[in-house]
Amino acid sequence: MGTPLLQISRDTDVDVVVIGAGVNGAGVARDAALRGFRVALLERNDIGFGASGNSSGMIHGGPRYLSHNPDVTHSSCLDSGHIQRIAPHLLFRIPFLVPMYGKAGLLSKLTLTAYDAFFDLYDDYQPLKHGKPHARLSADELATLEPGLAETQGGVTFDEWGIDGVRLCTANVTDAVERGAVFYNHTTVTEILRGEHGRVAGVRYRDRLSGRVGEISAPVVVNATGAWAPITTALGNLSPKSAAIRPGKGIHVFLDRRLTNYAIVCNAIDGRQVFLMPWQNMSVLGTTDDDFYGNPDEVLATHDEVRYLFQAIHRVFPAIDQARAIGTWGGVRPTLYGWGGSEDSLSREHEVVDHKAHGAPGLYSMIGGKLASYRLFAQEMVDELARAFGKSIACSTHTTALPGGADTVEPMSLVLQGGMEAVTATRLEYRHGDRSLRILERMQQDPREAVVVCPCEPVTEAEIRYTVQQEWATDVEDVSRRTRLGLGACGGMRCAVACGRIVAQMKELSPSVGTRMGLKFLQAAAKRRLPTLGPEQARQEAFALACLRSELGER
Amino acid sequence: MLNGVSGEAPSCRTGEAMSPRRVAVVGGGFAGVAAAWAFRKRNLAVTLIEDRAGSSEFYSGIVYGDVAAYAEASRNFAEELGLWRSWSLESRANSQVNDASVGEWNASTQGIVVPSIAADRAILNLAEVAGKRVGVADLGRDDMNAKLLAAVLAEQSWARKTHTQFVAVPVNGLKLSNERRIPVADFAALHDAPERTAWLAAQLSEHTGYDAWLLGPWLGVDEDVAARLRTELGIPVGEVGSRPGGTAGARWSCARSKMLARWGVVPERARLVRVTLTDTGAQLSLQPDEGEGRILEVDAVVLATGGVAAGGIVMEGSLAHSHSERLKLSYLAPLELELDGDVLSASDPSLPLALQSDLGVLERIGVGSHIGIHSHIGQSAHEPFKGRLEVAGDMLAGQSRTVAAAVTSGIAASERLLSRFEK
Repeated sequence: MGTPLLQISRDTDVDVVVIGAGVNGAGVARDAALRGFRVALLERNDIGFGASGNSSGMIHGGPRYLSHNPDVTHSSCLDSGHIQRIAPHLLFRIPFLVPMYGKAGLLSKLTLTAYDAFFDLYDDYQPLKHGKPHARLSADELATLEPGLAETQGGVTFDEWGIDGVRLCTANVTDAVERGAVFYNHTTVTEILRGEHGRVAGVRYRDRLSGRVGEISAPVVVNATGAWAPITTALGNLSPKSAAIRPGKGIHVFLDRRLTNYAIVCNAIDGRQVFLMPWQNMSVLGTTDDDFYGNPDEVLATHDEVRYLFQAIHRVFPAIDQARAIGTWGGVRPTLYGWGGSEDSLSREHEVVDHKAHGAPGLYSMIGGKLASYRLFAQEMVDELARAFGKSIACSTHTTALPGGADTVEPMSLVLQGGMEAVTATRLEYRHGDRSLRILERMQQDPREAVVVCPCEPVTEAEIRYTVQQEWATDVEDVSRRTRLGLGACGGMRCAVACGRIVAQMKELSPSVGTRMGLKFLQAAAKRRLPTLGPEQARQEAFALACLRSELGER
Repeated sequence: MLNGVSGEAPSCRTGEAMSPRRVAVVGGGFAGVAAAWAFRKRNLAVTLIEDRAGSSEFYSGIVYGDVAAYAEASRNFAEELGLWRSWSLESRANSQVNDASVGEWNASTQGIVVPSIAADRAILNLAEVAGKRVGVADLGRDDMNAKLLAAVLAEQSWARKTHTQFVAVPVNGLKLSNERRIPVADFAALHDAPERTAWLAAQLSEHTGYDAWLLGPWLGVDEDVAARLRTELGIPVGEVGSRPGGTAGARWSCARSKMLARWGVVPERARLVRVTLTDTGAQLSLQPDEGEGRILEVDAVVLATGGVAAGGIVMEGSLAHSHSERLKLSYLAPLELELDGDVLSASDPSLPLALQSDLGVLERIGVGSHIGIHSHIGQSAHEPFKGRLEVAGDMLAGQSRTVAAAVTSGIAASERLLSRFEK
């Protein structure tokens, strides 16, 4: 090995600055901290604020790459297996149904046989991620499994894993910090500092809540800002094109409960595949993929996008009309740049851009990627850093448990020790794994904290306080992202203000500040719900407003 | 004071002949019940249709707003219902903290202190305790964090102005450990029993040094438990406002059923799916939860099915035809709502923009106005519907969503229809 390209020096504050606490940034921070680097992680909005917290929430094995790039499928499935090992509490199985429609006859039989053969191939990879092999089903069998389906010509099944993206990000950030990294939440980088020969010297930042500004010196800056990547490179005086992406907006609609037993895949009017899937304790309808030109800080679903998804799923699952949509997610995929070709045909691959080529040695941008392969992407990034620093420390993120993933906790034991309801304990254990014992400790010290604040999800006062104290939550929206508080059927009308008051108390602010936090959350949630307003949700809106009047009086 | 209910059975006491007119009221909340009462007082046969509980059950027990129009009639209605301690005919909307010991000042469940025109008789009137030391009873129930509530109350401008102190006091008020979590109205109902009230009074009296007691909404559903406690302890005792769907809603539900029974109105449970206006009246298509639907023919109808929730009713008839699509809320049909005179579509970029500036914008949306009915209180309905259809309560655009406004608009709707009948 020759002279290292980069020097580790005690004169700099840290070895690596990572910008962005989405899954890629959090993953890199954790990996680098595990390998002994000194790391600072900065996040402009909140953990998992962008695509990571607004994705379909799946660690899938990438069947779509099977026909042209089976290596990607292999690595995706292998990594899915790794994630299950390091965070077993966060994964849940989602069996998919692919129903066939059309006239009975040779053509539909042939199509079904082709699907059957395709998933035969995918089955070879399933053991890597502990998935079940596919099955070919007759029309009757499908109707038995999912009685709400419109009449089919049979179909096939396949198996994937669901995950809560924000929990995954939070676990990575928590581990990074426990291994020595420093995390600055709600802190935006205002400049990437450059030294001699254009070499990266660190970053200048501003805390968006306190207004505090400061600098962190470092020989390496990793730009892991997803849809914001071109903006971030511009902060280092580079052309935004040096980290070109093709931003693709994807929205999901969520419905008030698990409407189906299985996820259902079908074609939209333009032939794209969309799905309706049971996800945690609701159903998710997704997704769209459209070029996006707006502000990534403010991504909202539109009424047109919502109707596109409803129209598609209505053909195979007519009862969707009667269901109650309770909100939307909007996110922007940082897809690799490509001109021409539809949004769907673009690669979901990822790549590391070394900006040495643009005269900025020490600056790297992580472009593209998907939730399912975040760990692999982070490993590739840190491998490159290790090479540049001339260190050879192996990656251990696939064998070291994430916080909460080391031990198994039986939810019933939480019920017996903490006096929680079974469903509260189950949801708590899902989100925090063995760390739920730390939340239980809070309840044992003060039984008042076992009170359920958000009855839909449900979320206890102890968990809210824990996310403020241990997980960098600063307001109701942050708590909601980490716990799903206020994202259930009632849209936060019973809990947002109460949660705000608790957060304010933790931060030693006046209760009226907490009330304002609650109202801010409700306003943002109303904006996300508006495009879904249908008969059932309209009724609920009237309740939500009546609720606010009751709780706060006429103002 | 309006405590209590008049004992007479009012339904047939006037001795007048029943009117030959038949009317229907759709919606059993404050607006619908006020309309039904106003019709029955004039001896009309009323069919009250309701689907299920609505936002009236979510009210806090505290009545905001004012009753500028139909003041006397609304006071009579309040007296008849017997739910509230007072019914101020004066607007409190502009009450300043300077009037802190005048009229009613009540604390909502979140501890926000606002002047009101009326309050559930169990709710503490803070005006009575201005400048005093109020004990906030902490029974250890999950539904009230007394410490946090006392801090919020102390922070209110009303409390600062009047130098009123709020102190959380742990009180042993639960007999069984499960009472910590049982639904609030069930817990309140336990105190309807006189011996339980006496026990609670004894527990409270162990703590001295307080000029008044503020409790959660736990003081009875059928009985005036707060009055009993005041007598026992000799100081003001009362509640904060109820949480949505809590005790105040349950008390309203009880009082409503009793009043409707006295007037001989039996609510019919069904969902209104279609209104067809005819030359002489209206045809309502009703769908119960189970079983066959039916058609009800009436001379006139009052729609009072609640805010944006009115969605789903389809208007038919030559006059309304062009608007029928607009009233239908569906994921598959475009949704349009009227906001302060402008028709907005949910796909209209200006709606989210309006929301950005003000969450309350949804408050001002009315579905009723889609069919051309603007009926602000005192104004008449859209000409084509005169004498056959009126809209009341939260369905109206541009009026405040208060109990006071619902009651007045319900009375107003029936009065307008009655005046057409008389012509």
